[in-house]
Amino acid sequence: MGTSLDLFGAASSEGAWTVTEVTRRARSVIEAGLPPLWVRGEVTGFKAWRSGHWYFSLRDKASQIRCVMFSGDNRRLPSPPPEGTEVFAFARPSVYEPKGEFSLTVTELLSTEQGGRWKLAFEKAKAALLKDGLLDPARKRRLPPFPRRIAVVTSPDGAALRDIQVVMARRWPLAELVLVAAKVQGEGAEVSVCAALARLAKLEVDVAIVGRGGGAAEDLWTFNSERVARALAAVPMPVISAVGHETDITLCDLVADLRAPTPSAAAEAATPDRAEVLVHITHLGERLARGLKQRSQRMVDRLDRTGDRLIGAIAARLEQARALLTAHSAQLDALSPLKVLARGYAVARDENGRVLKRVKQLPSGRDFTLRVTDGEVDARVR
Amino acid sequence: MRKLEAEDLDLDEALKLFEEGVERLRAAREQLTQAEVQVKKALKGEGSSR
Repeated sequence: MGTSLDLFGAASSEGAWTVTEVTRRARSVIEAGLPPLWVRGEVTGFKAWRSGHWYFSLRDKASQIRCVMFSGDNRRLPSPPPEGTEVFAFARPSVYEPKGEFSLTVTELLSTEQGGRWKLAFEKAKAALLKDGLLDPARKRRLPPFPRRIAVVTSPDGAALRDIQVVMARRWPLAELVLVAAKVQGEGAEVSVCAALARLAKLEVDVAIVGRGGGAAEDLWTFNSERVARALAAVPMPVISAVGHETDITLCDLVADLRAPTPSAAAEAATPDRAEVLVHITHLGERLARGLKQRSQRMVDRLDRTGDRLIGAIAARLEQARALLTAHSAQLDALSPLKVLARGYAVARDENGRVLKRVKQLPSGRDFTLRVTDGEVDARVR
Repeated sequence: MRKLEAEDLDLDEALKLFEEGVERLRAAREQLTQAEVQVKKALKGEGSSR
């Protein structure tokens, strides 16, 4: 029995392996069992470090493997492989001991020159959605300005939920968050997300956010499923996709009413800002007060004018009355009989007070009274 | 006043009418003054209530 392939014998006397021992053993097992080979897959999560080394993953629909291509090897290539390109890679499988990570050390990279099959599937699904009108910009619904209930379709223990909660609490604590739990990546995610999206129809929510936290692009598969995209299109309320990747656009992003780059951004798009709304309300209050003040000032002015007219009218009336009084009094004065007496005329009256105006009323010896300006005297006709 | 202006009127009658006229004028003047005071009072009240 060769020591390098003795999988079950413990190296130490306690009967337990150290991490280093098991990692080293795994590496030697893999390197012995998997000689350098050609691998076919799609490039994803590509990153070139300053050292010149390339790190990326190769994937197909079910699996992925971390890859490294050192600068000495990649220098021969004309350009880095675009994301999603399907390639043939000549690689040596190994275990990277510091991380215990199964990986491929790629020494050769060839494009399959037809685009990744995965990418092809994406384009096919997109074309199907387009044909059914699901990508029509006219389908996009406006988000409600003041949502009362916001559904969040995501993993109950993911970072997305936490991010959304934080933003909602800060911006619009009035809104109620309704979690619709779903498995957003890995096996069964497609079915789980579809079921969650179907459940939204029965909830009384104003807007829904479908999202997951940040992560590698390869985990976006669920949100690139045509089935999930169609389930999302069937949701009766506006939906924001927050699939958590800045550069990759998923089918769900295309179908959703709004695409947000991150769950936090989705929560911001779904809610009004409390501070802004407060400022707006204050402005409205000020406008209302100003309007009311102007209105009442106009009324005051009108009242003042009416008052002026009232005063003017009564003053004119009094003036008129006074003038009439003066005129009458002058007239009366002009006609005053006392004036006639004052001028030296006298009135003769008999004992009954009748005025004696004619000669025949005054026979000789007749007694009468004579009224003069300052009194009366008795008199007799001679 | 018209009676007073008519010529064939006893001076005595005229005096009576004149006295009545004077009395009426006095009453009218008093009424007018009263009205003016009332207007002034009303305006003052309105001014203080603002």
